[in-house]
Amino acid sequence: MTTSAFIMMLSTWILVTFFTVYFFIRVLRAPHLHNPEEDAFEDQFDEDK
Amino acid sequence: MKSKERWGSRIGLVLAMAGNAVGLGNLLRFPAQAVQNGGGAFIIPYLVSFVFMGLPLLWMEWAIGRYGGQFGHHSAPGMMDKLGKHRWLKYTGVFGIFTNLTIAAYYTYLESWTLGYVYHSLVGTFQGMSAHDVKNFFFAYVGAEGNPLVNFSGEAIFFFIITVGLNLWILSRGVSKGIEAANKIGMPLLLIFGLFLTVMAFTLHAGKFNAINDAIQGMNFLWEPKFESLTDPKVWLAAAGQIFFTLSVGLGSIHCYAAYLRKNDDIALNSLSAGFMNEFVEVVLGGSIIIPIGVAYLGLDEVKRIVGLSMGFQTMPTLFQNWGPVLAALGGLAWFGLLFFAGITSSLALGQPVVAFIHDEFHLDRKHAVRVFGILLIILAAPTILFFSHGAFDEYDQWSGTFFLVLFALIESIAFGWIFGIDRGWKEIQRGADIRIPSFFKFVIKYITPLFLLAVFCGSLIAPRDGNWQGAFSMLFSGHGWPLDPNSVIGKLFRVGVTDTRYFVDGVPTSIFIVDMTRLLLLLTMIGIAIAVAVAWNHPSKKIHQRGKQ
Repeated sequence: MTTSAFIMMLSTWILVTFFTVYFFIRVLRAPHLHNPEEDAFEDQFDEDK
Repeated sequence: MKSKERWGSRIGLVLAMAGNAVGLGNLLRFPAQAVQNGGGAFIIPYLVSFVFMGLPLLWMEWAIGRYGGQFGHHSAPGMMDKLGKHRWLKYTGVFGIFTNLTIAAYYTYLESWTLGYVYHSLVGTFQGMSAHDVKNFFFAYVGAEGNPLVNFSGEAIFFFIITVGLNLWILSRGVSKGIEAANKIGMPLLLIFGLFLTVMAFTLHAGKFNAINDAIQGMNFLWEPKFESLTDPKVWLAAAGQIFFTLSVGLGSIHCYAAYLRKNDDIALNSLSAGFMNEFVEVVLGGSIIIPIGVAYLGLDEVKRIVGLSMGFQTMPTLFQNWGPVLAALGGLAWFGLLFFAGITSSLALGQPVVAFIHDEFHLDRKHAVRVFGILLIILAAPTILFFSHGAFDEYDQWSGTFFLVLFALIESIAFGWIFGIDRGWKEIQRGADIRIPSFFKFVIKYITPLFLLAVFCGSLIAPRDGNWQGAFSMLFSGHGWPLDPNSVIGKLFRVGVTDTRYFVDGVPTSIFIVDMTRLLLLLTMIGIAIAVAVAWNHPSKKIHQRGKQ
């Protein structure tokens, strides 16, 4: 493999893999979506309407 | 009937969004585009397009979806309607139903091939077959051997029905128990299959498993940068096009999935995570399988000639046979299994907006909405199956899978930045965000992304012959006209380069007739959806809202 091809491949892979892992870890550490209390509130709100 | 469905978990949502984006194009289209457009240098316009067009479009579509979802709309017409006071806005959402429905029709058929090929790989059908036999097997499989007028193949239809049934069953289980659960199984399996094939490709060298070249030569071929190609507009348009298609933007499926979020759920970080997951599958895995394995057995020139969809089905099974019976079966299972999971996670995302449209706007319960979608899907898939070798399949891909996607994305980017307003739009993207998006993107979303999309749109409309833009401009300015490529939108529409345009020869319909009938069917489908939108909005409950808009 030529040096230029190797550098292009490796730098792209590192960049893409780093951001994939970084954002995924941030998602894992962030709060979850579900909030049952909010669910109950919204349902009540809908019924009131 | 207001849907109260929600995603069960954040991981499930991200995997479903990534699954929506990861499709067969990641594994078959990306490597082909890279080798034909500057090798390693292709990644520069590719990443520039990702930042200035891909990411802004992702944020826009997630924001439009979550915003529309607050009003009980989980499909494009209702969401687009909520972006402004203009009553015509809802009709721009017709594209968001049309493309999903018609792409699902031919894409599900393509997906069913992968299932059929998994079966044949496992039972050893390809053992002892020559390259020529495997190629013929494909034509026999789709009923196109000898190019009959009607491509009838019992086996292809059998696997198609199984694939449609599986899609409908998952959709009928709902967002959390169906789509989310399927993606939680499909995406990890997809990664496992992809990693297995990448390891096999990287350890392949001349002499091992009958390889004639080192697989690494294929990686060199793919990544060797030809920087002079960066001055060619064709390369930039190809890169922007690839980013566009790989992220599944301009479809209405991202909007639909995002509509099942709450008002204050994050979209900024989730979309980044799903977007980069797609890039990982495309750039790291997609670039490391088909090209190196192909080059190891066929050499550079042959791979350059056949790389793409046909190579995936007509060549790869032959190459796996060199690995011995067990590894060949495993290789076939991994390759076609990988394509199958990439396909089904996308086809579910194509189906859900249509189901949601019927459910929300026509007040049918989910199971009935899925049935209606299934009937429409089978009706629209029939021409692509029965007239596959006469261009029906390609027509669907050209109009639904290429042209209207870009058009819808262009319209929605203008609607979001200019009608809904960039200030409101920016607030919508930032609300509940778990990551801060640089404010520089506010400018990008309003000005740069629509311009990018306009360039891609115009590029597809008037693409010059062989993609030679410099030559075309020279011809234009020297008074010799514009050499339209037969595959450009205008070239297709006006049949550039076609000499015989007869509908019948000796009483038998020609491919021209089938292509025109396919276009007519697509046009009628679009008109039908527009009428459905008009009827839905004519409902008394919506009329009250419409009066409020006046």
